[in-house]
Amino acid sequence: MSKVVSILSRVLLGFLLLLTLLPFYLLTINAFKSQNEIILNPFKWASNWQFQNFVKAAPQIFRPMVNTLVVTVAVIAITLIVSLLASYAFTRYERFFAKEVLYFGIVALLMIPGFVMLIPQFVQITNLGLYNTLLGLILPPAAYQVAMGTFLTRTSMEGIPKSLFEAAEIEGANDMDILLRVVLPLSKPIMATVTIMTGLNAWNNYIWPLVASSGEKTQQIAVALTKIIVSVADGKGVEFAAYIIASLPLIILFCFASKYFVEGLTSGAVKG
Amino acid sequence: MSKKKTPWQYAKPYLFLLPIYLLMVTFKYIPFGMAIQKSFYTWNGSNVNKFVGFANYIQAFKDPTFIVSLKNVGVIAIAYIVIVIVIPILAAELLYAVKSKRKQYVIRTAFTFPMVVPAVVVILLWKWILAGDNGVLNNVLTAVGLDNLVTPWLGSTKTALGAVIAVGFPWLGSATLGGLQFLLYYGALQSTSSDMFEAAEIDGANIVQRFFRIDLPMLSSQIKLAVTLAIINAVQVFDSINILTSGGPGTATIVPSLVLYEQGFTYKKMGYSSAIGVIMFAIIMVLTLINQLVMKNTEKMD
Repeated sequence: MSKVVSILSRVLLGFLLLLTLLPFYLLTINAFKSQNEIILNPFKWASNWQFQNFVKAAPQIFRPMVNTLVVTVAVIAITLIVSLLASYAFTRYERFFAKEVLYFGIVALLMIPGFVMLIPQFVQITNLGLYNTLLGLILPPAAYQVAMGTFLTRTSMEGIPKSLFEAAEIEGANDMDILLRVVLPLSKPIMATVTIMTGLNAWNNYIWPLVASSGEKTQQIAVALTKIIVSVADGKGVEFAAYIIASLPLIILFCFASKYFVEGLTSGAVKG
Repeated sequence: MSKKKTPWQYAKPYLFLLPIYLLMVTFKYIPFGMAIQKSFYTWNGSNVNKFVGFANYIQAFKDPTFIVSLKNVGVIAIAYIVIVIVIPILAAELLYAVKSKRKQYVIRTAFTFPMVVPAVVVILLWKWILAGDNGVLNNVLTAVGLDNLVTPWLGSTKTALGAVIAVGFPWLGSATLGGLQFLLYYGALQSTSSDMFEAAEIDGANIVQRFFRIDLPMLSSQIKLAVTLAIINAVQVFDSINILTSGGPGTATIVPSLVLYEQGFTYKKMGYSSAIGVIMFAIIMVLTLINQLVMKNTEKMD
Protein backbone atom coordinates (compact mmCIF):
# COMPACT_ATOMS: atom_id res chain seq x y z
CA MET A 1 0.00 0.00 0.00
CA SER A 2 2.54 2.60 1.10
CA LYS A 3 4.78 1.54 -1.81
CA VAL A 4 2.00 2.31 -4.29
CA VAL A 5 1.30 5.65 -2.61
CA SER A 6 4.96 6.56 -2.72
CA ILE A 7 5.29 5.70 -6.43
CA LEU A 8 2.07 7.54 -7.25
CA SER A 9 3.21 10.61 -5.37
CA ARG A 10 6.54 10.60 -7.24
CA VAL A 11 4.72 10.40 -10.56
CA LEU A 12 2.33 13.18 -9.60
CA LEU A 13 5.19 15.44 -8.45
CA GLY A 14 7.05 14.75 -11.69
CA PHE A 15 3.93 15.54 -13.68
CA LEU A 16 3.43 18.86 -11.87
CA LEU A 17 7.06 19.78 -12.46
CA LEU A 18 6.80 18.83 -16.12
CA LEU A 19 3.69 20.96 -16.64
CA THR A 20 5.32 23.87 -14.78
CA LEU A 21 8.44 23.80 -16.94
CA LEU A 22 6.79 22.90 -20.26
CA PRO A 23 6.00 26.50 -21.37
CA PHE A 24 9.66 27.43 -20.83
CA TYR A 25 10.83 24.44 -22.85
CA LEU A 26 8.47 25.55 -25.62
CA LEU A 27 9.74 29.11 -25.35
CA THR A 28 13.37 28.04 -25.59
CA ILE A 29 13.18 25.64 -28.52
CA ASN A 30 10.75 27.72 -30.55
CA ALA A 31 12.94 30.79 -30.20
CA PHE A 32 15.36 29.01 -32.55
CA LYS A 33 12.77 28.04 -35.17
CA SER A 34 11.27 29.52 -38.29
CA GLN A 35 7.53 30.24 -38.30
CA ASN A 36 6.83 27.17 -40.47
CA GLU A 37 8.61 24.87 -38.10
CA ILE A 38 6.79 26.35 -35.07
CA ILE A 39 3.39 25.77 -36.66
CA LEU A 40 4.30 22.27 -37.83
CA ASN A 41 5.10 21.01 -34.33
CA PRO A 42 5.82 23.32 -31.41
CA PHE A 43 7.10 20.45 -29.25
CA LYS A 44 9.80 19.22 -31.60
CA TRP A 45 13.48 20.10 -31.25
CA ALA A 46 14.54 22.67 -33.83
CA SER A 47 15.86 21.06 -37.00
CA ASN A 48 17.08 24.21 -38.67
CA TRP A 49 18.44 26.50 -35.96
CA GLN A 50 17.54 30.14 -36.58
CA PHE A 51 20.08 32.06 -34.56
CA GLN A 52 19.22 35.22 -36.47
CA ASN A 53 15.93 35.32 -34.50
CA PHE A 54 17.99 36.73 -31.63
CA VAL A 55 19.82 39.18 -33.90
CA LYS A 56 16.48 40.44 -35.18
CA ALA A 57 14.91 40.66 -31.70
CA ALA A 58 17.74 42.39 -29.88
CA PRO A 59 17.47 45.89 -31.41
CA GLN A 60 13.76 46.11 -30.53
CA ILE A 61 14.28 45.51 -26.84
CA PHE A 62 17.76 46.87 -26.26
CA ARG A 63 16.63 50.41 -25.42
CA PRO A 64 13.76 49.30 -23.09
CA MET A 65 16.14 46.94 -21.32
CA VAL A 66 18.66 49.70 -20.65
CA ASN A 67 15.83 51.97 -19.45
CA THR A 68 14.49 49.27 -17.15
CA LEU A 69 17.96 48.51 -15.83
CA VAL A 70 18.44 52.17 -14.88
CA VAL A 71 15.04 52.27 -13.17
CA THR A 72 15.59 48.94 -11.39
CA VAL A 73 19.03 49.88 -10.06
CA ALA A 74 17.73 53.27 -8.90
CA VAL A 75 14.69 51.77 -7.15
CA ILE A 76 16.91 49.21 -5.42
CA ALA A 77 19.41 51.87 -4.30
CA ILE A 78 16.71 54.20 -2.96
CA THR A 79 14.94 51.32 -1.21
CA LEU A 80 18.10 50.08 0.49
CA ILE A 81 19.33 53.48 1.65
CA VAL A 82 15.98 54.86 2.79
CA SER A 83 14.87 51.67 4.55
CA LEU A 84 18.18 51.23 6.34
CA LEU A 85 18.05 54.80 7.63
CA ALA A 86 14.45 54.34 8.81
CA SER A 87 15.18 51.00 10.47
CA TYR A 88 18.20 52.51 12.16
CA ALA A 89 15.97 55.14 13.77
CA PHE A 90 13.65 52.44 15.10
CA THR A 91 16.32 50.09 16.43
CA ARG A 92 18.99 52.52 17.65
CA TYR A 93 16.65 54.93 19.46
CA GLU A 94 14.74 53.02 22.07
CA ARG A 95 12.09 55.56 22.69
CA PHE A 96 11.12 58.75 21.01
CA PHE A 97 7.80 60.54 20.69
CA ALA A 98 5.33 58.78 18.36
CA LYS A 99 7.80 56.00 17.53
CA GLU A 100 5.32 53.21 16.95
CA VAL A 101 2.81 55.54 15.29
CA LEU A 102 5.51 56.48 12.81
CA TYR A 103 6.29 52.81 12.23
CA PHE A 104 2.63 52.02 11.66
CA GLY A 105 2.45 54.91 9.19
CA ILE A 106 5.09 53.11 7.14
CA VAL A 107 3.77 49.56 7.15
CA ALA A 108 0.13 50.65 6.76
CA LEU A 109 0.99 51.59 3.18
CA LEU A 110 1.38 47.90 2.42
CA MET A 111 -2.34 47.41 3.03
CA ILE A 112 -3.47 49.95 0.44
CA PRO A 113 -3.96 48.48 -3.03
CA GLY A 114 -1.87 50.33 -5.62
CA PHE A 115 -4.79 50.81 -7.98
CA VAL A 116 -6.53 53.28 -5.66
CA MET A 117 -3.70 55.77 -6.14
CA LEU A 118 -3.13 55.16 -9.85
CA ILE A 119 -5.07 58.12 -11.21
CA PRO A 120 -3.91 60.79 -8.70
CA GLN A 121 -0.33 59.53 -9.04
CA PHE A 122 -0.51 60.00 -12.78
CA VAL A 123 -1.92 63.53 -12.41
CA GLN A 124 0.72 64.27 -9.79
CA ILE A 125 3.74 63.26 -11.85
CA THR A 126 2.30 65.10 -14.82
CA ASN A 127 2.00 68.26 -12.70
CA LEU A 128 5.55 67.77 -11.41
CA GLY A 129 6.81 67.50 -14.98
CA LEU A 130 7.89 63.91 -14.39
CA TYR A 131 5.61 62.30 -16.97
CA ASN A 132 7.63 60.17 -19.39
CA THR A 133 10.86 60.66 -17.45
CA LEU A 134 12.94 57.99 -15.76
CA LEU A 135 12.53 59.82 -12.44
CA GLY A 136 8.76 59.55 -12.79
CA LEU A 137 9.16 55.80 -13.28
CA ILE A 138 11.50 55.50 -10.29
CA LEU A 139 10.02 57.55 -7.45
CA PRO A 140 6.41 56.28 -7.08
CA PRO A 141 7.38 52.57 -7.14
CA ALA A 142 10.31 53.31 -4.80
CA ALA A 143 7.87 54.98 -2.39
CA TYR A 144 6.09 51.64 -2.10
CA GLN A 145 9.22 49.47 -1.90
CA VAL A 146 10.69 51.47 1.00
CA ALA A 147 7.73 50.44 3.16
CA MET A 148 8.39 46.76 2.48
CA GLY A 149 12.12 47.34 2.85
CA THR A 150 11.74 49.01 6.24
CA PHE A 151 9.47 46.24 7.47
CA LEU A 152 12.08 43.63 6.57
CA THR A 153 15.23 45.48 7.64
CA ARG A 154 13.80 46.57 10.99
CA THR A 155 12.98 42.97 11.91
CA SER A 156 16.49 41.91 11.00
CA MET A 157 18.20 44.89 12.62
CA GLU A 158 16.43 44.28 15.94
CA GLY A 159 18.49 41.10 16.05
CA ILE A 160 21.78 42.98 16.30
CA PRO A 161 22.94 42.94 19.96
CA LYS A 162 22.52 46.34 21.59
CA SER A 163 25.94 45.91 23.22
CA LEU A 164 27.56 46.33 19.80
CA PHE A 165 26.01 49.77 19.42
CA GLU A 166 27.07 50.74 22.94
CA ALA A 167 30.61 49.52 22.45
CA ALA A 168 30.91 51.49 19.24
CA GLU A 169 29.54 54.57 20.95
CA ILE A 170 32.03 54.32 23.79
CA GLU A 171 34.80 54.18 21.24
CA GLY A 172 33.52 57.51 19.97
CA ALA A 173 31.73 56.32 16.85
CA ASN A 174 29.00 58.62 15.52
CA ASP A 175 25.80 57.46 13.80
CA MET A 176 27.40 57.30 10.37
CA ASP A 177 30.26 55.12 11.69
CA ILE A 178 27.83 52.79 13.42
CA LEU A 179 25.64 52.52 10.32
CA LEU A 180 28.52 51.83 7.97
CA ARG A 181 30.79 49.73 10.21
CA VAL A 182 28.35 47.87 12.48
CA VAL A 183 24.89 47.77 10.89
CA LEU A 184 25.83 47.40 7.24
CA PRO A 185 28.13 44.36 7.53
CA LEU A 186 25.58 42.58 9.75
CA SER A 187 22.67 43.38 7.43
CA LYS A 188 24.10 41.90 4.24
CA PRO A 189 21.71 38.89 4.06
CA ILE A 190 18.57 40.97 4.54
CA MET A 191 19.89 43.53 2.06
CA ALA A 192 20.32 40.74 -0.50
CA THR A 193 16.73 39.65 0.12
CA VAL A 194 15.42 43.22 -0.21
CA THR A 195 17.50 43.76 -3.35
CA ILE A 196 16.08 40.67 -5.06
CA MET A 197 12.51 41.40 -4.05
CA THR A 198 12.72 45.03 -5.14
CA GLY A 199 14.56 44.09 -8.32
CA LEU A 200 11.92 41.54 -9.32
CA ASN A 201 9.12 44.03 -8.73
CA ALA A 202 10.87 46.82 -10.64
CA TRP A 203 11.83 44.64 -13.60
CA ASN A 204 8.31 43.15 -13.80
CA ASN A 205 6.41 46.40 -13.33
CA TYR A 206 3.81 46.72 -16.08
CA ILE A 207 0.96 48.97 -14.98
CA TRP A 208 2.97 52.00 -13.85
CA PRO A 209 5.13 52.22 -17.01
CA LEU A 210 1.96 51.72 -19.04
CA VAL A 211 0.56 54.85 -17.38
CA ALA A 212 3.64 56.98 -16.76
CA SER A 213 5.62 56.49 -19.95
CA SER A 214 4.97 56.72 -23.66
CA GLY A 215 7.19 56.20 -26.64
CA GLU A 216 10.71 54.89 -26.88
CA LYS A 217 12.52 57.38 -24.66
CA THR A 218 11.60 55.80 -21.34
CA GLN A 219 9.82 52.62 -22.43
CA GLN A 220 10.13 49.77 -19.92
CA ILE A 221 10.72 46.14 -20.84
CA ALA A 222 7.38 44.71 -19.63
CA VAL A 223 5.48 47.11 -21.87
CA ALA A 224 7.94 46.78 -24.76
CA LEU A 225 7.51 42.99 -24.84
CA THR A 226 3.79 43.38 -25.51
CA LYS A 227 4.51 45.67 -28.45
CA ILE A 228 7.13 43.74 -30.38
CA ILE A 229 6.57 43.99 -34.10
CA VAL A 230 7.60 41.05 -36.25
CA SER A 231 7.11 40.52 -39.97
CA VAL A 232 5.03 37.55 -41.09
CA ALA A 233 8.18 35.94 -42.49
CA ASP A 234 10.08 36.26 -39.21
CA GLY A 235 7.21 34.91 -37.18
CA LYS A 236 6.88 34.05 -33.53
CA GLY A 237 10.47 32.84 -33.22
CA VAL A 238 11.69 36.44 -33.09
CA GLU A 239 9.15 37.28 -30.38
CA PHE A 240 10.28 34.29 -28.34
CA ALA A 241 13.91 35.31 -28.76
CA ALA A 242 13.00 38.73 -27.36
CA TYR A 243 11.27 37.11 -24.37
CA ILE A 244 14.39 35.09 -23.63
CA ILE A 245 16.72 38.09 -23.85
CA ALA A 246 14.41 40.05 -21.55
CA SER A 247 14.42 37.23 -18.99
CA LEU A 248 18.18 36.75 -18.96
CA PRO A 249 19.19 39.39 -16.39
CA LEU A 250 17.00 37.87 -13.68
CA ILE A 251 17.84 34.30 -14.66
CA ILE A 252 21.57 35.01 -14.44
CA LEU A 253 21.05 36.63 -11.04
CA PHE A 254 18.98 33.61 -9.98
CA CYS A 255 21.81 31.23 -10.86
CA PHE A 256 24.14 33.05 -8.47
CA ALA A 257 21.72 33.74 -5.64
CA SER A 258 18.86 31.25 -5.72
CA LYS A 259 18.82 31.12 -1.91
CA TYR A 260 18.11 34.84 -1.70
CA PHE A 261 15.48 34.53 -4.42
CA VAL A 262 13.49 32.09 -2.33
CA GLU A 263 13.79 34.45 0.64
CA GLY A 264 13.06 37.52 -1.47
CA LEU A 265 9.96 35.93 -2.93
CA THR A 266 8.58 34.60 0.33
CA SER A 267 9.35 37.53 2.61
CA GLY A 268 7.59 39.83 0.15
CA ALA A 269 4.49 37.82 0.87
CA VAL A 270 4.06 39.37 4.28
CA LYS A 271 2.46 42.40 2.66
CA GLY A 272 -1.29 42.64 2.75
CA MET B 1 22.48 57.00 34.11
CA SER B 2 20.64 60.01 32.83
CA LYS B 3 22.28 62.02 30.13
CA LYS B 4 20.95 65.41 29.29
CA LYS B 5 19.76 65.34 25.74
CA THR B 6 20.44 68.25 23.49
CA PRO B 7 17.69 69.31 21.03
CA TRP B 8 19.87 67.83 18.31
CA GLN B 9 19.71 64.43 19.96
CA TYR B 10 15.93 64.67 20.23
CA ALA B 11 15.72 65.45 16.54
CA LYS B 12 18.01 62.67 15.38
CA PRO B 13 15.57 59.73 15.02
CA TYR B 14 13.20 61.99 13.12
CA LEU B 15 15.98 62.99 10.76
CA PHE B 16 16.59 59.33 9.94
CA LEU B 17 12.87 58.98 9.19
CA LEU B 18 12.73 62.10 7.06
CA PRO B 19 13.65 60.48 3.70
CA ILE B 20 11.09 57.69 3.97
CA TYR B 21 8.30 60.03 5.00
CA LEU B 22 9.15 62.54 2.29
CA LEU B 23 8.97 59.78 -0.31
CA MET B 24 5.88 58.02 1.02
CA VAL B 25 3.81 61.09 1.81
CA THR B 26 4.59 62.75 -1.53
CA PHE B 27 4.07 59.76 -3.79
CA LYS B 28 1.63 57.56 -1.87
CA TYR B 29 -0.31 59.19 0.95
CA ILE B 30 -1.10 62.44 -0.86
CA PRO B 31 -2.33 60.54 -3.95
CA PHE B 32 -4.31 58.22 -1.67
CA GLY B 33 -6.02 61.16 0.02
CA MET B 34 -6.58 62.74 -3.35
CA ALA B 35 -8.21 59.53 -4.66
CA ILE B 36 -10.71 59.57 -1.80
CA GLN B 37 -11.40 63.28 -2.22
CA LYS B 38 -11.73 63.17 -6.01
CA SER B 39 -14.08 60.19 -5.85
CA PHE B 40 -16.68 62.79 -4.83
CA TYR B 41 -15.85 65.06 -7.77
CA THR B 42 -16.38 65.21 -11.49
CA TRP B 43 -12.74 65.51 -12.46
CA ASN B 44 -10.70 65.22 -15.64
CA GLY B 45 -7.34 65.78 -14.01
CA SER B 46 -7.24 69.50 -14.77
CA ASN B 47 -9.91 72.12 -15.50
CA VAL B 48 -13.11 70.13 -14.84
CA ASN B 49 -13.33 69.76 -11.06
CA LYS B 50 -16.76 69.88 -9.45
CA PHE B 51 -18.07 68.38 -6.20
CA VAL B 52 -20.87 65.91 -6.91
CA GLY B 53 -21.31 64.06 -3.61
CA PHE B 54 -21.94 60.36 -3.98
CA ALA B 55 -22.87 60.61 -7.67
CA ASN B 56 -19.80 58.65 -8.83
CA TYR B 57 -20.56 55.80 -6.46
CA ILE B 58 -24.22 55.71 -7.47
CA GLN B 59 -23.17 55.74 -11.12
CA ALA B 60 -20.77 52.86 -10.52
CA PHE B 61 -23.42 50.58 -9.09
CA LYS B 62 -25.76 51.46 -11.96
CA ASP B 63 -23.07 50.84 -14.58
CA PRO B 64 -23.72 47.38 -16.09
CA THR B 65 -20.05 47.03 -17.12
CA PHE B 66 -18.86 47.65 -13.57
CA ILE B 67 -21.42 45.19 -12.18
CA VAL B 68 -20.19 42.52 -14.62
CA SER B 69 -16.61 43.33 -13.62
CA LEU B 70 -17.48 42.69 -9.98
CA LYS B 71 -19.08 39.38 -10.90
CA ASN B 72 -16.01 38.37 -12.92
CA VAL B 73 -13.63 39.35 -10.17
CA GLY B 74 -15.75 37.32 -7.75
CA VAL B 75 -15.30 34.25 -9.96
CA ILE B 76 -11.56 34.94 -10.23
CA ALA B 77 -11.23 35.41 -6.46
CA ILE B 78 -13.00 32.13 -5.69
CA ALA B 79 -10.85 30.32 -8.27
CA TYR B 80 -7.65 31.87 -6.88
CA ILE B 81 -8.57 30.95 -3.30
CA VAL B 82 -9.21 27.33 -4.27
CA ILE B 83 -6.01 27.26 -6.35
CA VAL B 84 -3.70 28.63 -3.63
CA ILE B 85 -5.06 26.21 -1.05
CA VAL B 86 -5.21 22.99 -3.03
CA ILE B 87 -2.34 22.81 -5.50
CA PRO B 88 0.59 24.36 -3.59
CA ILE B 89 -0.18 22.26 -0.48
CA LEU B 90 -0.33 19.14 -2.61
CA ALA B 91 2.99 19.99 -4.27
CA ALA B 92 4.62 20.90 -0.96
CA GLU B 93 3.52 17.61 0.62
CA LEU B 94 4.71 15.62 -2.39
CA LEU B 95 8.06 17.38 -2.32
CA TYR B 96 8.40 16.96 1.44
CA ALA B 97 7.78 13.24 1.01
CA VAL B 98 10.86 12.92 -1.25
CA LYS B 99 13.45 11.15 0.89
CA SER B 100 16.72 12.75 -0.19
CA LYS B 101 17.25 16.33 0.99
CA ARG B 102 19.42 17.01 -2.05
CA LYS B 103 16.68 15.95 -4.43
CA GLN B 104 14.20 18.10 -2.50
CA TYR B 105 16.49 21.09 -2.99
CA VAL B 106 16.94 20.47 -6.72
CA ILE B 107 13.21 20.03 -7.31
CA ARG B 108 12.37 23.12 -5.28
CA THR B 109 14.87 25.14 -7.29
CA ALA B 110 13.32 23.82 -10.52
CA PHE B 111 9.91 25.01 -9.33
CA THR B 112 11.34 28.40 -8.30
CA PHE B 113 13.06 29.06 -11.63
CA PRO B 114 9.88 30.06 -13.55
CA MET B 115 9.14 32.66 -10.87
CA VAL B 116 12.10 34.74 -12.01
CA VAL B 117 10.89 34.84 -15.61
CA PRO B 118 9.12 38.20 -16.05
CA ALA B 119 5.38 37.83 -15.48
CA VAL B 120 4.65 39.49 -18.83
CA VAL B 121 6.70 36.82 -20.64
CA VAL B 122 4.62 34.11 -18.98
CA ILE B 123 1.39 35.88 -19.92
CA LEU B 124 2.51 36.28 -23.55
CA LEU B 125 3.52 32.61 -23.70
CA TRP B 126 0.07 31.61 -22.53
CA LYS B 127 -1.49 33.91 -25.09
CA TRP B 128 0.21 31.70 -27.67
CA ILE B 129 -0.68 28.45 -25.90
CA LEU B 130 -4.39 29.43 -25.72
CA ALA B 131 -4.57 31.05 -29.16
CA GLY B 132 -7.31 29.95 -31.55
CA ASP B 133 -5.09 29.64 -34.64
CA ASN B 134 -1.90 27.63 -34.18
CA GLY B 135 -2.29 27.72 -30.42
CA VAL B 136 -0.37 24.97 -28.63
CA LEU B 137 -3.39 23.68 -26.73
CA ASN B 138 -5.50 23.41 -29.87
CA ASN B 139 -2.59 21.66 -31.63
CA VAL B 140 -2.41 19.08 -28.87
CA LEU B 141 -6.17 18.56 -28.89
CA THR B 142 -6.13 18.00 -32.64
CA ALA B 143 -3.19 15.62 -32.38
CA VAL B 144 -4.95 13.41 -29.84
CA GLY B 145 -8.19 13.38 -31.78
CA LEU B 146 -10.21 15.76 -29.62
CA ASP B 147 -10.91 18.12 -32.53
CA ASN B 148 -14.38 18.87 -31.22
CA LEU B 149 -12.83 20.65 -28.20
CA VAL B 150 -10.74 23.00 -30.36
CA THR B 151 -11.85 26.57 -29.73
CA PRO B 152 -10.41 30.09 -29.57
CA TRP B 153 -10.04 29.88 -25.79
CA LEU B 154 -9.48 33.59 -25.23
CA GLY B 155 -11.81 34.72 -27.98
CA SER B 156 -14.98 32.89 -27.03
CA THR B 157 -17.38 34.33 -24.48
CA LYS B 158 -17.88 30.92 -22.90
CA THR B 159 -14.23 30.09 -22.26
CA ALA B 160 -12.45 33.45 -21.99
CA LEU B 161 -12.76 33.93 -18.22
CA GLY B 162 -11.72 30.35 -17.53
CA ALA B 163 -8.81 30.70 -19.94
CA VAL B 164 -7.57 33.85 -18.22
CA ILE B 165 -7.65 32.05 -14.86
CA ALA B 166 -5.88 29.02 -16.39
CA VAL B 167 -2.83 31.11 -17.35
CA GLY B 168 0.18 29.61 -15.62
CA PHE B 169 -1.43 26.19 -14.97
CA PRO B 170 -0.59 24.40 -12.61
CA TRP B 171 0.37 27.78 -11.17
CA LEU B 172 3.34 26.47 -9.23
CA GLY B 173 5.77 28.57 -11.23
CA SER B 174 3.77 31.76 -10.68
CA ALA B 175 5.32 34.10 -8.13
CA THR B 176 1.97 35.61 -7.16
CA LEU B 177 -0.49 32.76 -7.48
CA GLY B 178 0.75 29.29 -6.60
CA GLY B 179 4.54 29.28 -6.48
CA LEU B 180 4.91 31.67 -3.62
CA GLN B 181 2.38 29.73 -1.56
CA PHE B 182 4.18 26.51 -2.47
CA LEU B 183 7.43 27.94 -1.06
CA LEU B 184 5.64 29.10 2.09
CA TYR B 185 3.94 25.74 2.73
CA TYR B 186 7.08 23.79 1.97
CA GLY B 187 9.11 26.05 4.26
CA ALA B 188 6.59 25.47 7.06
CA LEU B 189 6.71 21.69 6.63
CA GLN B 190 10.50 21.78 6.60
CA SER B 191 10.71 23.76 9.81
CA THR B 192 8.55 21.36 11.82
CA SER B 193 10.34 18.69 13.72
CA SER B 194 9.98 15.27 12.15
CA ASP B 195 9.16 13.83 15.59
CA MET B 196 5.57 14.87 15.18
CA PHE B 197 5.20 12.99 11.93
CA GLU B 198 6.97 9.95 13.39
CA ALA B 199 4.74 9.99 16.45
CA ALA B 200 1.69 10.03 14.22
CA GLU B 201 3.07 7.10 12.27
CA ILE B 202 3.69 5.10 15.45
CA ASP B 203 0.14 5.83 16.59
CA GLY B 204 -0.99 4.18 13.38
CA ALA B 205 -2.32 7.27 11.66
CA ASN B 206 -2.54 6.84 7.91
CA ILE B 207 -1.50 9.52 5.44
CA VAL B 208 -4.95 11.05 5.15
CA GLN B 209 -5.43 11.20 8.94
CA ARG B 210 -1.96 12.67 9.41
CA PHE B 211 -2.66 15.31 6.77
CA PHE B 212 -5.92 16.52 8.28
CA ARG B 213 -4.94 16.18 11.96
CA ILE B 214 -1.37 17.45 11.87
CA ASP B 215 -0.25 19.05 8.62
CA LEU B 216 -3.32 21.13 7.84
CA PRO B 217 -3.67 22.74 11.30
CA MET B 218 0.07 23.38 11.26
CA LEU B 219 -0.20 25.23 7.96
CA SER B 220 -3.15 27.36 9.04
CA SER B 221 -1.23 30.63 9.33
CA GLN B 222 0.34 30.06 5.90
CA ILE B 223 -3.10 29.29 4.47
CA LYS B 224 -4.46 32.48 5.97
CA LEU B 225 -1.66 34.46 4.34
CA ALA B 226 -2.12 32.61 1.03
CA VAL B 227 -5.85 33.37 0.98
CA THR B 228 -5.25 37.04 1.85
CA LEU B 229 -2.75 37.31 -1.00
CA ALA B 230 -5.10 35.51 -3.38
CA ILE B 231 -7.86 38.02 -2.57
CA ILE B 232 -5.57 41.02 -3.04
CA ASN B 233 -4.24 39.64 -6.32
CA ALA B 234 -7.68 38.71 -7.60
CA VAL B 235 -9.28 42.07 -6.86
CA GLN B 236 -6.36 43.88 -8.51
CA VAL B 237 -5.85 41.49 -11.43
CA PHE B 238 -4.89 43.60 -14.44
CA ASP B 239 -1.72 42.66 -16.35
CA SER B 240 -2.90 39.30 -17.65
CA ILE B 241 -6.36 40.52 -18.63
CA ASN B 242 -5.15 43.70 -20.30
CA ILE B 243 -2.61 41.73 -22.34
CA LEU B 244 -4.74 38.68 -23.13
CA THR B 245 -8.26 39.96 -23.75
CA SER B 246 -8.54 43.67 -22.83
CA GLY B 247 -11.67 42.61 -20.95
CA GLY B 248 -13.29 41.01 -23.98
CA PRO B 249 -14.87 39.43 -25.88
CA GLY B 250 -17.60 41.94 -25.03
CA THR B 251 -17.40 42.17 -21.25
CA ALA B 252 -16.61 38.48 -20.70
CA THR B 253 -13.37 39.16 -18.84
CA ILE B 254 -13.82 42.77 -17.72
CA VAL B 255 -12.50 43.45 -14.19
CA PRO B 256 -12.68 46.54 -11.93
CA SER B 257 -9.02 47.50 -12.47
CA LEU B 258 -9.61 47.57 -16.22
CA VAL B 259 -12.77 49.67 -15.80
CA LEU B 260 -10.74 52.05 -13.62
CA TYR B 261 -7.96 52.22 -16.20
CA GLU B 262 -10.28 52.78 -19.16
CA GLN B 263 -12.55 55.31 -17.44
CA GLY B 264 -9.56 57.22 -16.11
CA PHE B 265 -7.18 57.23 -19.02
CA THR B 266 -9.30 56.62 -22.13
CA TYR B 267 -12.34 58.68 -21.13
CA LYS B 268 -10.62 61.04 -18.67
CA LYS B 269 -13.43 60.46 -16.12
CA MET B 270 -10.91 60.57 -13.31
CA GLY B 271 -13.39 61.26 -10.52
CA TYR B 272 -15.48 58.24 -11.48
CA SER B 273 -12.33 56.20 -11.90
CA SER B 274 -11.15 57.22 -8.40
CA ALA B 275 -14.48 56.09 -6.96
CA ILE B 276 -13.94 52.65 -8.51
CA GLY B 277 -10.48 52.57 -6.90
CA VAL B 278 -11.98 53.37 -3.50
CA ILE B 279 -14.59 50.63 -3.97
CA MET B 280 -11.75 48.17 -4.78
CA PHE B 281 -9.95 49.28 -1.63
CA ALA B 282 -13.13 48.73 0.42
CA ILE B 283 -13.68 45.28 -1.10
CA ILE B 284 -10.14 44.19 -0.26
CA MET B 285 -10.47 45.51 3.31
CA VAL B 286 -13.79 43.74 3.90
CA LEU B 287 -12.67 40.43 2.37
CA THR B 288 -9.38 40.47 4.28
CA LEU B 289 -11.26 41.11 7.50
CA ILE B 290 -13.69 38.26 6.80
CA ASN B 291 -10.73 35.98 6.06
CA GLN B 292 -9.08 36.95 9.35
CA LEU B 293 -12.28 36.20 11.27
CA VAL B 294 -12.98 32.90 9.51
CA MET B 295 -9.42 31.69 9.98
CA LYS B 296 -9.46 32.74 13.63
CA ASN B 297 -12.51 30.55 14.18
CA THR B 298 -10.94 27.53 12.53
CA GLU B 299 -7.91 27.98 14.75
CA LYS B 300 -10.16 27.90 17.81
CA MET B 301 -11.73 24.65 16.69
CA ASP B 302 -8.50 22.70 16.99
